[in-house]
Amino acid sequence: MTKAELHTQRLKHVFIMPALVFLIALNIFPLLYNVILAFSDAELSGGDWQFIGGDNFAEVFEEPRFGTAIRTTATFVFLAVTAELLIGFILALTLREPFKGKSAVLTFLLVPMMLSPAVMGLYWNLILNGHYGILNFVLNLSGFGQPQWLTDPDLKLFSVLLVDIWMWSPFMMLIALAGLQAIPRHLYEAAAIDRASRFTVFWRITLPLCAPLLFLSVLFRTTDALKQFDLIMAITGPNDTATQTLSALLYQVMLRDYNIGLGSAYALVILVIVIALASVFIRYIDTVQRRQGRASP
Amino acid sequence: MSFLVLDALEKTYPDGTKAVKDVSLEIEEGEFIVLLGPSGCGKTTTLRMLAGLEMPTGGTILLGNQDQTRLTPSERDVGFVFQFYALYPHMSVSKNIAFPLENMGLVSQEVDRLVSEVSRHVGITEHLHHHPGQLSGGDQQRVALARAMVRRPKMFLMDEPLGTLDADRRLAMREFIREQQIESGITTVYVTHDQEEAMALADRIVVMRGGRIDQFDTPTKVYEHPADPLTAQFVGSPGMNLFTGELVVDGTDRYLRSGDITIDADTKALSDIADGPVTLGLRSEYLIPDAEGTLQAETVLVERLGSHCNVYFDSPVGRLVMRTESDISHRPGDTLKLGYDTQHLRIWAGDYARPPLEVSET
Repeated sequence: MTKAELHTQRLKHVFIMPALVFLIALNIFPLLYNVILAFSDAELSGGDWQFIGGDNFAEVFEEPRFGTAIRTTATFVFLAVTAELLIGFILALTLREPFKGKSAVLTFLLVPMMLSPAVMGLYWNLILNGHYGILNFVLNLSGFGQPQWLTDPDLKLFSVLLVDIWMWSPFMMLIALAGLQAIPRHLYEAAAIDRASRFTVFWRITLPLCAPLLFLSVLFRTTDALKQFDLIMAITGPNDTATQTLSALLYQVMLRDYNIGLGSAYALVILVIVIALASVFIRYIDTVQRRQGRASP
Repeated sequence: MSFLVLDALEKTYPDGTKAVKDVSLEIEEGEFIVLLGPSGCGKTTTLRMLAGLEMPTGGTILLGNQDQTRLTPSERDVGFVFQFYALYPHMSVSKNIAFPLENMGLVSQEVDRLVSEVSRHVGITEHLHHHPGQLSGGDQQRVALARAMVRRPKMFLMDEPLGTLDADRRLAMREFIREQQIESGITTVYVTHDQEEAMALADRIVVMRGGRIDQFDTPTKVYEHPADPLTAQFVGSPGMNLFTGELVVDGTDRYLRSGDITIDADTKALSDIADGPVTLGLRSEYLIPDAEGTLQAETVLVERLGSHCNVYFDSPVGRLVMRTESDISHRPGDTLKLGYDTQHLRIWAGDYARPPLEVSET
């Protein structure tokens, strides 16, 4: 190796170093440390801790709140992602063709997505308040009564869902719009020549060609909704069993009960669930893309 | 009445661009018509209006005596082959071909029968279960042809279908397309900017320029008697030799001059041309070495192409190219005299190098 080559080699390392340091410090080390803690009886208050084997995991699976949280999370994720997908896709279909003021409409629709979930949670907490919230004020005027959005156990999860859907449908819309606009115009021309009805064009051309991107956005939203915490924290609080998702339960165990060891075990279990779900989605997207392969220009 | 009639067809885009101006054509059933012209001449727009993919802003389209001007593509009975194939990327080859049949509501046995028949015909049976993205460009174009053919439409429309293929595949596909058309007898309108393709395929060629029809004639006529110098130069490889001259009237005597020399010409051909500047054209194969010839020429370059040679000369009338089948022994720098049979000399009034300005209509 010449001196110049050696120099380039060294320079490469210098450039890679910052990324590597960040990755190790912020991802790899915390993950490994979490694994260690999950097998310990460490507490937030500090002090000595020791390994206690798999006891924490046994406790996780025996905990009744864990099962409830899984059901709540599954319900929340399923309803939120489904509604966001439908609303987002329908919005994208209506906003597909160019019209005057389109960019202004798009910007307005995207605002909820850009705001901080914690702040929006607090705002919605005020809007949804049963006594002085503006929503009930309007409902009362129109004679719809006064649903107790934040205290009625049957409505609480629905209230959080409402806000999540309001925030994230625009995201689905954005991705769906990109998917729709990527469908070449000549395919629609070919379909017109082939005498396809509007119904056929939608089901056999628009939807299947958009599907890979829709799945990608469902993947994003699913992994995100699985970790939903800020809205729940701000709207109903982390301890409410009606809205206690896995993340909220984790928060309670770790930062309210100060049980770091048990909390780490919860965190690991949640991580495994998220990775398992994500890899199913990714494998599906992969298959679709490989089949369409080197798609025609 | 002819099978397909275009009458004063016009297309003006919302931005004011006139893509097609006053195009009128009468096409007989079973003809292979090629729209030929440089890009932007309106040939593709004309084709897309025939398909219903663009709505004309004026004029009418009659197909088999039925007014089709305002019909949507699905209401017409045409097959269209797109330049970039436009195959449905998420469907297998067989699904692609079956798509137009399914839209007609045929039962699945019938669909299967027609799909396997047409795919055997165009030679893609081994690809039926592949997706278009897994096929070569040539095979994708075969699938596109099969999809257009399977419904047996009244008319085929093809928009530069060979434009994206490699040179060697183009020839094979060209032959294939023509063979299929002759066999099926379906009237075909084909768009290309490649004059050789047009010559090879067409029963009649529509030469277009600036949104108008320049000439509508058989390939031989377009080649031998081009309507104007631009077409003369565009068609043929090499294009026609062009040079400028002047028609002189001296009493009852009419003759051609170019610079200081008199140009031999058929006196009959001169009778209906006004005196003044003219453009003269001579196909390269009609130029011959001739000791009696009036054109003094100096050899510049010899291209030996196997079947023939192209010899380039500098002459008093400008650069000339001669095509000859016999091997030429002379080398750059050699001088000789060139002659030609006067009946092959083409004469157009006006100086092609300085055409009159076209009056803008927008």
